[in-house]
Amino acid sequence: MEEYQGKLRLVIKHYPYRYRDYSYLSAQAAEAARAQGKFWEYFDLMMAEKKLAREDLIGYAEQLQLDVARFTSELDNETHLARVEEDVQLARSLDLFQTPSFVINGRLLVGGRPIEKFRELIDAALAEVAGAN
Amino acid sequence: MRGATGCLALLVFLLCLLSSPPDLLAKPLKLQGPLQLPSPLAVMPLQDPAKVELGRALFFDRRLSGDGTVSCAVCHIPDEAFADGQKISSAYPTNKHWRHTPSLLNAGYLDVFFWDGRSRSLEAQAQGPIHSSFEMNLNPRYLVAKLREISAYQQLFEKAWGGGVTLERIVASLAAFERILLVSDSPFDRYLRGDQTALSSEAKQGLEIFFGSRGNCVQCHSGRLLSDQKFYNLGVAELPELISDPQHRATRNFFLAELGLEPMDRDPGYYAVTRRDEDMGAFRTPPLRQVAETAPYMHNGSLASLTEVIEFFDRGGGDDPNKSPLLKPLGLSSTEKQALEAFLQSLSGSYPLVRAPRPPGF
Repeated sequence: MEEYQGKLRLVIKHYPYRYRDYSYLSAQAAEAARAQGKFWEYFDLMMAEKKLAREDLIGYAEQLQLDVARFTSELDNETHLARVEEDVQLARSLDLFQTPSFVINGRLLVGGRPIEKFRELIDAALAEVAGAN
Repeated sequence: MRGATGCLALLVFLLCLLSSPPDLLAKPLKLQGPLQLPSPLAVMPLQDPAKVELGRALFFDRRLSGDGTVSCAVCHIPDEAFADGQKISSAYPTNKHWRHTPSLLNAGYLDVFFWDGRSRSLEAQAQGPIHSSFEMNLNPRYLVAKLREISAYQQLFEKAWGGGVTLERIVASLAAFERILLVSDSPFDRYLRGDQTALSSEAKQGLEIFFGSRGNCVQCHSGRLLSDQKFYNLGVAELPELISDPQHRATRNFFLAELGLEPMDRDPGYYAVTRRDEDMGAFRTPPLRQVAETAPYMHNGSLASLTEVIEFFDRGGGDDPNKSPLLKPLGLSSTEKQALEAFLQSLSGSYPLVRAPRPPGF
């Protein structure tokens, strides 16, 4: 992102695996953090800690000094479940089933790849946009 | 580079065009000097279009996996030369694989399959990933039962085989589909057929290194496929994450246990098949068509580019007590390395652009 500052926008879509105990819960937790303006901080913390039970998720909200009562209420009431489901439906409509999957200006990459592969596709997409203008 | 065929009908048509009697008359081409080049690829026998169509449906169908998310095309991606561009293959969700995905292009010509050669037919190979707990994770007998309940599949099997769904017909249909995934029009192939202009002068120099004493790559990358289909320990280092990550370790140890082997901190390669000490860490020589599009390389994807591969062989391979004595430091100049890479680039031609059909029954 730093390398392409000002040229690249990163959008994360949730795709909780249906047979994972905590994947739907953690996706909703990230959305509850977004509601308080700290999606990326929360997302990065979850990825670093890798523990995703309800108590862990609430602990991360405390660490980031979110309104924990509001966070917990939204988590327990599944306030953001519909938002997560929207992403799941989008993925299915695009025939995406694997995580991580990346879509770079319409070009699909499935699975973790070396940074060079991303550079190749990003550079091609930027060149395409430059050519179109 | 990819071909422009956008649908299977056109593919089948092209196959019909190609399916003249096998190209047995082609003679090895002689360069100036003592180099002996392989014969051009033989023409693949025509595949039954109905079996190919059924195989294509199965290849893209996620219902061939336990949780309905993994098809053959997840790892053998049509847009990526039927490989997947990753060091280590994708795995069944929540699991991790332990080896690199080989391309399916020209697999129909092979006699030995998988990195460790544990399968001797395309049909037998096709069954392996479906059953594997860390790949598609579906009991093949359950797959048969599932497909028998889908009337659209019943019709496809009837059309292709004149009978119902069986496991043998499933894997034979997949194999028929894989046999149309061919590359035979690379600049190197055109050169073998006598087009002296097909290779650049740099690629010709690389060819001389490849087939001559400077590189002697041909001692293993021989024959029409540029693979002797034999097994060598090159001293490729283990990926650190395969040793340290519990999920990768679990997959390797499960795989070994299934073959009656004790856990070990390395990939035994062909040893798992033969149990001969000299086969420890040995892997099948890969065929080389489209190699420039199938990075990364080696059984664990540990070499990121052709440049790295050439550097690796120039050093005489890696470190392993069981390393093949065929590997010696080459001392290639930078110009020679570039030429060798240009030759490897010349092995890319066009291949069928295959799209997923609508899943039968949907």
